[in-house]
Amino acid sequence: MEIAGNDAHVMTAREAGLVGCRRCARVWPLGTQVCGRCGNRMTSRDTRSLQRVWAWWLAGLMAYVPANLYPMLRTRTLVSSQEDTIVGGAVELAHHGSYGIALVIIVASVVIPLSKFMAIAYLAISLQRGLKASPHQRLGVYEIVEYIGRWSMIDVFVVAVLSSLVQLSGVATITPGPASLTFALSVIFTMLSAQAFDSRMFWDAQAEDRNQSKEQTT
Amino acid sequence: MSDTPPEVPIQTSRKSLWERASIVWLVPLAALAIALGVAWQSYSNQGPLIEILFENASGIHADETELRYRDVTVGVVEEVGFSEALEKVRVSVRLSKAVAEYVDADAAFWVVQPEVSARGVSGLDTVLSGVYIEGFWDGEPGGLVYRFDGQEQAPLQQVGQTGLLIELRSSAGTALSAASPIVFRGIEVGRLGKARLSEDGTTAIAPAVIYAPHDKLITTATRFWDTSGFTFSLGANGAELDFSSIASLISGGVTFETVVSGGESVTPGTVFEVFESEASARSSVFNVSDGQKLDITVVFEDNVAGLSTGAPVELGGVRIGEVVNLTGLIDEERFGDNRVRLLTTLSILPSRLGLQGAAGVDDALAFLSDRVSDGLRARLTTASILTGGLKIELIDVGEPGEAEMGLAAVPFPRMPSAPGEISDAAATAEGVFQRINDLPIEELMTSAIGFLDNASILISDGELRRIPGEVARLIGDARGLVGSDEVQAVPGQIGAVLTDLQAASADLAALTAQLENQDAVTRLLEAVDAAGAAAATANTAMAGLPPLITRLESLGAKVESLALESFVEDASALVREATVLISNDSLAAVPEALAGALEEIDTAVASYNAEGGTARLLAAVDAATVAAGEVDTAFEGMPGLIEELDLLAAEIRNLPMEGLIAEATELADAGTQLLGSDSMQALPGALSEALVELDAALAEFNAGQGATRLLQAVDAAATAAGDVSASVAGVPDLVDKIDAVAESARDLPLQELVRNLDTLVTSANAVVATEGAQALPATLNDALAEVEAVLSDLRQGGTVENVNRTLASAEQAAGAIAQASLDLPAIVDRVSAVLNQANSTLSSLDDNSELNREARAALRELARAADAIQSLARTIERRPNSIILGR
Repeated sequence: MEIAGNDAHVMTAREAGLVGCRRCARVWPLGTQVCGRCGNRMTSRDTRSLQRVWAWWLAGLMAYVPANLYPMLRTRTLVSSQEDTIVGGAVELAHHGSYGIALVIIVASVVIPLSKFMAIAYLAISLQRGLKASPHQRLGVYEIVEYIGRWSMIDVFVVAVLSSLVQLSGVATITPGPASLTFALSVIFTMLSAQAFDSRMFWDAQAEDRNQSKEQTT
Repeated sequence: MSDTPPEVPIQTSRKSLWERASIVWLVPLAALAIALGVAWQSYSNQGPLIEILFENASGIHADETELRYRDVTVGVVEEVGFSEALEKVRVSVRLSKAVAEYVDADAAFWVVQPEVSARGVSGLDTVLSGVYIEGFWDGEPGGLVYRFDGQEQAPLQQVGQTGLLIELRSSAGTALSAASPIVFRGIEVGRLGKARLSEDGTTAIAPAVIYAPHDKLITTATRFWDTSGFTFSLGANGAELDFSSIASLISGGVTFETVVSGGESVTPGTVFEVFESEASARSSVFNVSDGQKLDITVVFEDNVAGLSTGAPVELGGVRIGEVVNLTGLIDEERFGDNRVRLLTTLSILPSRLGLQGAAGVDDALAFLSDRVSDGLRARLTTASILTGGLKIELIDVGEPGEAEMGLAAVPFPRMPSAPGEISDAAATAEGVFQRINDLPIEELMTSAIGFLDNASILISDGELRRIPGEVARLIGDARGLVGSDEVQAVPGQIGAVLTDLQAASADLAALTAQLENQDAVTRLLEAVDAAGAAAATANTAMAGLPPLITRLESLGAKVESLALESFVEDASALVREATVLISNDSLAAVPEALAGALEEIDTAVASYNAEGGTARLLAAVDAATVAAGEVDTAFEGMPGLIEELDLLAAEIRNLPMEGLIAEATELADAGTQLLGSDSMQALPGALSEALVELDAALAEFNAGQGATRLLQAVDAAATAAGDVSASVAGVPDLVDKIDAVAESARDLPLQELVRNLDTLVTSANAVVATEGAQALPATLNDALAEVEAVLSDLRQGGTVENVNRTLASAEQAAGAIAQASLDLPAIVDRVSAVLNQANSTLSSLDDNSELNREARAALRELARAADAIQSLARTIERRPNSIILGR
């Protein structure tokens, strides 16, 4: 058995004539249509996976634009009402000296979503174009994207908590702005986009690399 | 390796794009569709962007300040910027599409801000919510206009109000403060807008609105006046204090009144004048409506204080204009001296002259010119005697043809003037004093002093001074006489005598009764007739007496010059002696003796009665009658006698009377001595004794045939009557003496005194008769007449009425204050309510209020959340991998 390493060649299920269930991870002989354990429909490689990735990715990106243009929070106090977009709020916090919170917001609401978009785009393009890259590296990126995706919702949580807590009629009211909805949608779409990725395709690129190197050696 | 794996079924045939496309593509497509839809919807619903220019943007914030119409938000400010060259603030407002087409050129925009003024509190809601822009436009769509000029304050005509928009013009002295109310009979019927200066800068013009339905009250005959503050005028009509409500006292106000009927309805934008006071508004009712004015000038010779601009010009008591200008005038060429004359400009209203038809300026000038030719003149007269205010009166005082209207004068026609008739109270008083001054006081005093001097001289005369002393002495003597015991005893004795007399009279009464019974009266009458004849004869004889008396007078005149004084003194001494004599004791016995004699007589009469004495008496009377006749005869010789006497008197006149008098004096002295002699002193005693004797004799008489003898005696008396003739001759002597005494008395220094008194009276008379003294009453009369005229002027001038009116207006003013005070509580209530609201709002913000507690709790929660986030951030900072690891 080979141990998964950076340089070591990893035996794929496909190379072994098997197909793995993506739900319960049981492997079946290649050609099995339905997983005998969980009933999941099985394909060795989901050829339309990238389509879905791009579709979700696009939807997430579309949702992300108004999420940054429209106000996230509407704060209405006795004497004034205020609407803050994500970046505007963070900048205002930084103005008031709360750099830490501003940084959290910037990271959680801007840096992470953008890096997710970029990471997914990079993975998808690299798969489509067959760019050379370490499958391990790609898998790491993919895992980070998938893990970190949920933290983007922290902004939405803050809005939800604030708007539910601060409802002092007349004196101070915080209501979620339209951006909170689109931002949440954007996060959801990017998470779906990341999930739509068929990560097994990373290894196909490795197989192609080896075939090419075999041909060179032979 | 194991068997070759089965052939992996590879689908080679390319599916169609539709089959290859994932269903997930619907999601971005839907998102795109939604985005496009939203974009399109927001674009299509987006109203137009209009720009409003304001002087400043106080309280206006982009994306926050709303535009409201009837308090409904119809837009929001998108941008606040500046116009070109930073002249104004440009506020861009995104208008709601629904109202866009109504926002036409008539739309007005203004910023609603909280405002606290004397009129009340407005815009209170904007304290918390911030200002907003209020817009106003009508309900007629008129096409959108994109640029507006914002107004500084709310337009006069608010939303939903209809009314009449007019303009009020005020000159100096009246203030048109913005938002002041227009009050009519205490009701606010309109409002003033912000005033602006007219183009020439002489007046201020303010737009004003009169709300329906009160706009019907406004006609061309309506006059507005200023009720702000209060007016205190002290003019020709007395003092007046006037003000309206307290609110208008503070913030100003305008009211109006349609002072004459017949006004026509006005069109919006009509300009009305705002007058300073109600009085001027009413009095100027003809100012505008009566058309053009005729200006004429008058030069008054008498330049007196008291005339002021605005003073009335009257013709026949009717006010036809007023004085509009006063100035001095020095024109040596025209008047020949350099005195300052009063040049006045009068503004005459032709329509007030009462000319028929449409009286124009030319008609009025022609009319006045004709009247001036007939003698019409302008003159100054007193308008009020109290204030000394003057007015100008046009009155016919000149001669016809004497002067003409100066039609060629520049700049206005000149009317000739007449001397003023100014009844100044001070001048009248001065006249009174002047007349008092003119009285001949000095002369009067001089006369009085002369009189006193003369009186003083008279009194200081030695002889006059002696008189009281002598009188006193005489009185003293008389007192001594009267005070003597004897004289004191006389009354008692007299009483006794009277008793006797009474008895005698009783007897006599009885005697008389007898006389009556025996035709005594007839006889007596006869006797009387005889006596009458004798008297007639005597009368005839007396006719010759006057010349005798004249001569006697002249004789007396000589006697006057004699030393009567010494004679008087002697007489005085004689009197004293007589006094002494009288005071003699023996004299005191006389009455007693007399009493006794009377008693005897009584007895005798009684006896006489008893013996038919009466008949004899009658006989005696008869004899007396005969005697009288004889006397008559005797008197027939009287004229001759008198002539002799006359001659005698003439001789006597030639006699050395002085010596005679001296001798008489000596004789008197001798008499005196005689009286003073002891023998004389004893005389009374002898007399007394004689009486006693008589008494005794009578007693005897009574005892004997007394009555018979009496009759005989009577007979003898008859005989004696014949002798009376002789005795009559002695009478003139006696008369002469008495006359002389009288003459000498006439010669006393009393004459001088009388003369002096006479002089005094004369001089007093002269004083009284002087012209000044006689003029005094007339002068006083004149002065009183003047005072009376003054008083009647006062009464006719209606001063009392004016005072009454003033008091009445003051009372009205007080009433207005009272009304305003009634309003005040409402205002205070309102303010109180507002404050209460504010208070409750603030108290809800108090420490223990629920709101505050919740806010604090929320803030605590927020703080805790922030803490948590902070600790999270710290954790992330410290262990970034925990994000990845999920811990």
